[in-house]
Formats: sequence, structure tokens, C-alpha cells
Amino acid sequence: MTTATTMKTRLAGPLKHLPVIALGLLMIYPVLWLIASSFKPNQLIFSDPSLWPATFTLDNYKNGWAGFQGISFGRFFANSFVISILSVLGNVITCSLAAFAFARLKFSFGKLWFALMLVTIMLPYHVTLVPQYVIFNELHWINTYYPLVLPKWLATDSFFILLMVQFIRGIPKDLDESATIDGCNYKQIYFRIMLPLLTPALITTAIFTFIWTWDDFFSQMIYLSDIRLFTVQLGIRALFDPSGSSDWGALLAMSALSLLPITAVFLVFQRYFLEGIATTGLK
Amino acid sequence: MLKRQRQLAVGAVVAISMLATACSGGTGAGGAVSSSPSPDNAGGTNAGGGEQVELRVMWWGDQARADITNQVLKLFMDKNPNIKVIGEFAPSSGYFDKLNTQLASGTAADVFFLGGNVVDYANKDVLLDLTPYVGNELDLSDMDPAMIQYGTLADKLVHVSAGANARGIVVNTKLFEQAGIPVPQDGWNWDDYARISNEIAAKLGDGYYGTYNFTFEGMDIAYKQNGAQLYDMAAGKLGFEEKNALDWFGYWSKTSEGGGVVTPELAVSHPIDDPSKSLITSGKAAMNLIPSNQLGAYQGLTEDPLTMVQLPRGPKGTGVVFESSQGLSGYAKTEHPKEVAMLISFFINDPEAAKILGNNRGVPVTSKNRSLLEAEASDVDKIVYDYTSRVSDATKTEPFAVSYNPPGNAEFEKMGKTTVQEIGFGRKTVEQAVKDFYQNAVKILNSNQ
Amino acid sequence: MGTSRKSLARDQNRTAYLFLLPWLLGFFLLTAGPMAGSLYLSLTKYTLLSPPTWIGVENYARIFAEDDTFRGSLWLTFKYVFLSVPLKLAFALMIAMVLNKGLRAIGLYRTVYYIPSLLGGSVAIAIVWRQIFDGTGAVNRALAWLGIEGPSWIAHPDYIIHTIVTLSVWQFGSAMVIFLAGLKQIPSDLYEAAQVDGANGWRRFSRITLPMLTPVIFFNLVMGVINSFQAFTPAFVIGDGRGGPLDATMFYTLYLYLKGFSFFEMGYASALAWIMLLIIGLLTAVIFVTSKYWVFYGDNKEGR
Repeated sequence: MTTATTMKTRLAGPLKHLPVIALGLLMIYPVLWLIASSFKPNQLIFSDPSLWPATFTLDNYKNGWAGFQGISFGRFFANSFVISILSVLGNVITCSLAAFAFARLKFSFGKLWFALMLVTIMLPYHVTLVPQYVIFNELHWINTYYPLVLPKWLATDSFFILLMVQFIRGIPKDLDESATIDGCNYKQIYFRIMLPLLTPALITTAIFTFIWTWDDFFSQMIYLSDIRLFTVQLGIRALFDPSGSSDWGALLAMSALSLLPITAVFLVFQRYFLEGIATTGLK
Repeated sequence: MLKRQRQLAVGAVVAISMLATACSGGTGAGGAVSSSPSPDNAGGTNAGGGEQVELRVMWWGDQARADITNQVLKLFMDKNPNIKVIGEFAPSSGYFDKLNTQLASGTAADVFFLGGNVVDYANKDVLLDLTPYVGNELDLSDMDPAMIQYGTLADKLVHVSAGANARGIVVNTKLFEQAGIPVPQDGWNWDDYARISNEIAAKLGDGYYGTYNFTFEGMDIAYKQNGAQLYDMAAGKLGFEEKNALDWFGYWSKTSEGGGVVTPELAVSHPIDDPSKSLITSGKAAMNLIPSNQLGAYQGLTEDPLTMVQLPRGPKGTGVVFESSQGLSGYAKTEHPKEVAMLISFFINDPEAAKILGNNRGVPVTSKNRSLLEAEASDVDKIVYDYTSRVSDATKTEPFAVSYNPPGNAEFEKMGKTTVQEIGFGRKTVEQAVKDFYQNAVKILNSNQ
Repeated sequence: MGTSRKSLARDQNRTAYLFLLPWLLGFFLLTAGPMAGSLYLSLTKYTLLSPPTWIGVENYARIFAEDDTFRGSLWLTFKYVFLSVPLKLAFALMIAMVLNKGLRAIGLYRTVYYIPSLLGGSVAIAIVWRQIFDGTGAVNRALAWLGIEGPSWIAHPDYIIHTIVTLSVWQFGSAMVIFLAGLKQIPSDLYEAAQVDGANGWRRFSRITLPMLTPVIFFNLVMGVINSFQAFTPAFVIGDGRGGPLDATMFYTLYLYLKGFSFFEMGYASALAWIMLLIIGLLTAVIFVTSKYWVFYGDNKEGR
């Protein structure tokens, strides 16, 4: 019996991998094309569709990395890191606080606040942009990172609040009820019970916030003008001008490079999914 | 655990405030130009002599343009030590969103660049009237009168062109060679154009085309060739009749039937105005209408030799004149109008600046700087200069007015291009499409007056 | 007992507002004002560059009475929401189930499957998609093998919506990650108990996994509907950013943006935004109401 099962799993192992690998290749074909093209000279990028560059060059990376006005892409990467990390901290802390209140505590006007929280994500940002810009301008925060980071510290990303509300509601209530009986107050429940149990949701929030902030272009473009404050995405967009002579090679090279940190973040953090409550043994 | 969390939070808050202080060092400008002058800035108001003045300049483009523009601004500061200029640039994909946001909140730069949509901004009174400074701070003596005229709207000079170009037909000579057809010469007409386009397609076979369909892009030129115009600035109404439009749309519809015109589908995936995706650079289409300053961009993406030929002639000639590719405008609410005029003047007249800027925004608008650059032109530039000098010779015997885009430019453009597609994809007959086009054009114009 | 319960409630109230403080600050300082502002602007003629003038409900009247593009873009957006959301969620759940198994190098697979979502709406992806879905792109070359001559998927107005749906399904990574996180939260003892009862794979899925996952499915559904209703980037990645060709990529939010920022009718755009808010709000409310019947929470007893 046991040997039969191991035989079966041993055979099934590689077979199981096949479709996963095949689909995976399909998934990343565009990225492979992107990377391959970043090593091609400018004239060949659009005329040579192959994945293996016929002429191999590193010029795109050299030219792209040089940046402009003496400020290299290294600075843009550092700036993007600062904004993304501050945003992650903000979202993880404030959204989990709000979510805990919405999901577990009974308080006056709770339903109303919850509905308002949802409504805030239903209005497209284009129509609130101008009034919001006026506010940040009054505060003299144009050309600083405040307009990009501060909203995250004030839990304006309702997406993550709702995400965590759903996760908290999935956690059996007997846990915190028994904690209350043990004499824990709400703060202790939040820190000692909720946060550890919420790990998968917190990791998800951290990953998404990092990646979305990293990829964001519009608000960075609107609020930042000083080149020393520029981010990776602004740097990349500055490499092309649809009606002019864009440096496509450098653009693809820097796009490929910009994928590295977020891929790494994902690769590192996805491991922590394994350490959710399923493996820690809840009961 | 609780303690650690708190420490983390406190640490983050400290970090965030430190960061923001560190960053706000060079940012006084962000809020300085608001509708009510802030006290810390009041000292600099209208500083004619000696006092320190700060100007913000905003443009769009890529990093190469950013580099040279900043060099010129630095040169300006060296020569005018009392003026500090802060350059801001936005990638072209977001420039007008940013400009509009800033204008809406009263925080736009003192000087900013505008393109073919200048009429829209002039209509909304956000541009500085530069007329009082002409001849003093602003020297336009060496600039083409037609270009000055172009920037004068409602009797006010609100826009100074920073680069000129002339539209023409770009030709991929390799395709002509392959097809065994001689490269066309100036002086041809529209029948020639249709015939040659179809011949190229027929000789080279499937997947090759003679020309892009530039019904919309060349519309204003076509009208001028027939004694009409797209927009009558003085009268504030359309300068053409429905009949003009019907002739022009009809010409393209008929030529398309011959197989020589890029199909509507390909025109979507390989847009007419995007060199990087163009069928000209990938060697699939032989001819297109382009502004002369884009030839370099096209040539940079292909090894096929490209050249430029004048447009086919209509009853009144080629209809092509020098046009502004883009230019500088002052912000109506600027606190330093004089310095704005000085900067603009420097930008177009200074020979050193011209050398740095080259043809990046088009050919220089003053004749002195043009001859300065012609002396050290690259191969592609030589083709451009050769072409533009032929255009300028032609305009001496066959003068045409500069075209303005009608107000509501973006909406008009969207509507016009959609009309071309409606015909191309067979959704409407030419007659029906043109009828709707004309009605919609009138409607857009009226709602944007 | 009564007093202690009352004080407990008061304590809970105070604690709740303390926890909500950052959000409340954000709401009143950053969100509420601009939202109210946009509601006011929807009742004005506002060109963005000159001060707004009050015109009452005229914008709304014009939208409903004479705006064909509004109707077209609303229809297109609905079509997109109803095609892409179910497909994306089903696909994401399927892949998440597969990747939740203890395969070797599982982390690498997860990353590979997430990579398309990393690309987001970047400039590079627009170029890449053109390479794949163009008339002579990779997809049509593959179809040609099978003897099928494919159209230009990114250029013909009749096919472009399918390409956009494909793009959205291809970027299923975010939904997948949320499903993965949800799967990780299902207590393993439930499965162990089921194993003891001799439940097979399908029964385990339908009796344990699916019900336990409903809060997360609910979340993905709500956010999927809200986000795809606001779809904006596909129009830039695949279309020309102006809704073309022939308004086949004219999504509601894109139309709103063009009206506001390109055509200088911010008052009109604000009215469009509030109409959209009502529609999304209605859809969300429907999902919330029905959720009573199909979402099982750990905090109400009958769910377990």
C-alpha cells in the first residue's frame, strides 16, 4: 500500500509539473521577449521578433542607467524604494487597525462608516484630482513625497481595509471571545491574536502596496517635478516621446531592470504564505 | 510584540517626517506662484533690476530634450545672475494632464510649452499677453513674420514658436528601388500620388503599401490647395464647405480601393504619427505625411534610406508653409512678466542656445540661427534643410496662410480620426460620414468658442 | 451585569474610534472634501481653466438625452465587467488551487504566474502586446499552424474587446495571491477530519475549500467589479488612449477622463463620475445583500 502510493506520487510528480510549466512559459513569454529585446540594438527591436538577439549589446543598459542631468537611474531606484517602503508600512499599519474595528467591534454609526469607506473607492480619481491637488498645494506639499505617502498613513486605500475585514471575518470568533474571558482588552486582542492570524493578509497587503506604488505613474507625474525626486516609472516614461526619437532600447532595458525589485519582493514574501495559520496549528 | 510594533510605527513616522523635510529643500517654487502671493515671495515681485527673481519653466519630452533644455536654462542664468530658473519637465504622456491640473489650481509654471492646442488655452485667458514687451525684452526682429502672426491670437501675442517645420511626404527609397519605380519629384499631383501608391503595392505584393491614409492629418493642407482653410480664425468659424471635405475624403476612399493605401486595421496597430511602430520604418509602406522635424526619428529606427518630397499639388499649389511645431507661452498669472519675456527671447535668439538645442523642437525660428545650424548639419539634417529651403522658395511664389487647429482641438481630432475609420471599416458611406463629420465639427466649434 | 455590559459597549465604542482614527482623518482631510467638490462641479459648467458656473442638472440631462458615446461606453464597460470578472476569478482560483499543493519549486511557479501582473500598465507591456496580438504577431502565427488565418486582434474594432479581456485574465495574479492567502487560512484540521471521513477530492473542495473561501471570493468579486468598472489602463495598453478604433476601447472611465482633461468639460466629467458611482454602488449593494446566502464567515456560527 505505502509503496504503491509513493510509486504513484513519484510518477505523478513530473507529470504534474508539465502543464504547470507549459502554462508558466506562456505566462512569461512577454517578459522573455522584453528581456531579449533589451539586448538588441535600437534598429532591430521592432524588426527582429526572435527571442534570441542576433546582435547582442549592453548599450541599452549603459545608456539607460546614465539617466539625465547627471542623475542616474540609481537615484530613481532609491527614490522608488523610499516611497514604496513608506507606503507599505502605512498601509499595513493603518488599514489593519481600521479593518479590525470594522470587522470585530460594535460602535455607533459603524455601518455608515463602512458604507462610506466603500463609496470612496467608487469615484474615479480623475474627478477628485484637482480638488486634492488644491489641498496639497495649500499645504505646500507639491514636489514632496507627502502627497504620495501620507494618504497611505491615513488608510485611504479602502481596498486593503476590505481585504482585511474579509480575512478577519473568516477567523473563528471563539478565539477572541476566549481571549476576552482571559482578560485581554481589544488592543491586546489586536496585537496578540489578530495580527499573527492575519499574516497572509498582511503579507498580501505589503506585496500589493509595494508593487502598485512601484508601478504607479500618474500621481507621481502630477506631484513630482524636481528631477532629483523622480521615480523609476517617471524615469522610464522620460525615455520615450511617441512623436519623437525615443530610445526604445534603453526604455526596455530599464523596464526589465525595474521588474527585478518587485519580482524579488514577491519571490521573498510569497514564502510567508506557507506560515499562515494552516501550518502553525491553530488549535 | 506590542512594544516592537509601537517602535516600528514611531520609527516610521519619524522617518517619514525627516524624509519630507529633506525633500522640501528645493521646493519653495511649488507653492510660490499661487493666486495670492505668499509673503515669503513678495520681495521678488516685478524685480526689474538687481533683485532675485525665480521663474519656473515646464516642457514635455524625453531625457535628451530635458538635458539640452536645462543646459540652455543654465546658460540663461549665467547671463542673468538675478534670475533663477527652475526647469520642470513631464513625460509627454502626462504633460497636459499635469499642466491642466496646475492651471486649474492656479499653480502653473511661469513659462510653459504648448503645441497645436494653443488656441484652446488662448481662448481660456490663461496665457500672458507678451505684446508690451516686443521690441524691449522680447526681440522678434529676426523671426519669420508668419510665425509671429501664428502666435498672435485676438490681437495679443501669447505664443512664441520655438521650432519650425514644414510637412512633407517621407519616402522610403528602398521600397521604390525594389519596385523599380523612380523616387517621385516635387511638382507631382494627386493623380500621380494615387497611381504611384497603387503601383508600389501591386509590384511589391501582399503586405506592402504605397502610402498611409492621411485624410485627417493632411486635411488642412488639402483645403488650402483648393482655396479654403480648416479654421477661419478671424471669423471664428470653419473655413471650408462640406463639398471640400467630400472631395478629400472621396479621394482617399477611391485610392484605397486600388490597394495602395495602408488598411484601416494596420493604421490602428501601426499609427500614422508614431515612428517606432510605423510601417515606414519597418519597410512595409513607402510614403507618409510627416512634419520635417520627425525625419530624424524615423531614420533613427531604420536602415532604409529615407528622403522628403513636397506634397502633390492641387489647384493653388502645395499648400505647405512653415508651421510651429511647438512654442513658449507665459502664464497669465506670472508675477514676473518681464523676465518671462526675457527668457523667451533668449530661447529663440541666442546663438549658443540654438547650437545646444539644435533641431530638437524643429528648425530654429530665426534666420540667423538657421544658417548657424545649417553649417554643421548631419546627413539627416541636410535632407531636412534641403526640404525646408525648397518649401521656403515655393512659398515666395505661392504664399499660404498658417493653419490653426479649431478650438476644441482634441475633440475635433478624435472625431475626425473616427470618421476616417468609419469609412475605412465600412460602417458608413463616404457621403454619410462626411455629412456627420461636418455637423459634428460645427457642434464642437460652437461649444468651445 | 447590566452596567458592566454598558461600560463594555462604551469601551468598545471608544476603542473602535481609536482604531479608526487614521482612516477618519484621511477621510475628512483628503477624501470627503474632493468628493463633495466633484458633486458640486457636476452641477456646473467647468472648463478646468476658468471658474465654474452653476447650471443645475443640465449636465445630467445632456448625458441621458443626447450622449451616444455615454451609452456606448457604458455598454462596453458592462460587457467587459461581465466577461472579465468571472473568467479572471475562475482562472485565478484554479491556478491558486494548483499552486497551493506542495510542488517542488512552488515559490518559483507562483512568481512566474504573478509576473504578468507585475507589468501592470507599463509602457513596455503595450509594446509586448502589440508583438503578440498584431496581425502578424505570435498568436496569429500559432493559429496559422492550425491553418486558421486570424484577424488583427488589437486593431479590428470587432475583436479588440476580446484582446482586452484576455489581457485582464492574463493579469490574474492579484486575485490569485488573495486566493492563495485565503487557502492558507483554512485550518488544516478540517481537511484532516474530512480525510478521516473518506471524502474525495471534489467533496473536499465543495464542502470545505469553497465554503471556507467564500469571504475571499466575495472580496475578489466586489473588488473585481469595482476595478473593472473603472478599467482605464487597457485602453492605453491596447487602444490608442483615445477610445479608438471606432470607440471599441472607449471605457467609461476613459471617456470621463477625456471629457474632463482633454475636452475641458470637467463639470460634465464629474456628472459622469457620479452616475458611475451610483451604478457601481448599486452593483456592490446587490452583491452585499446576496452575500448573506452564500458567504460563510467564521464569526457567525451557522457558517460552520
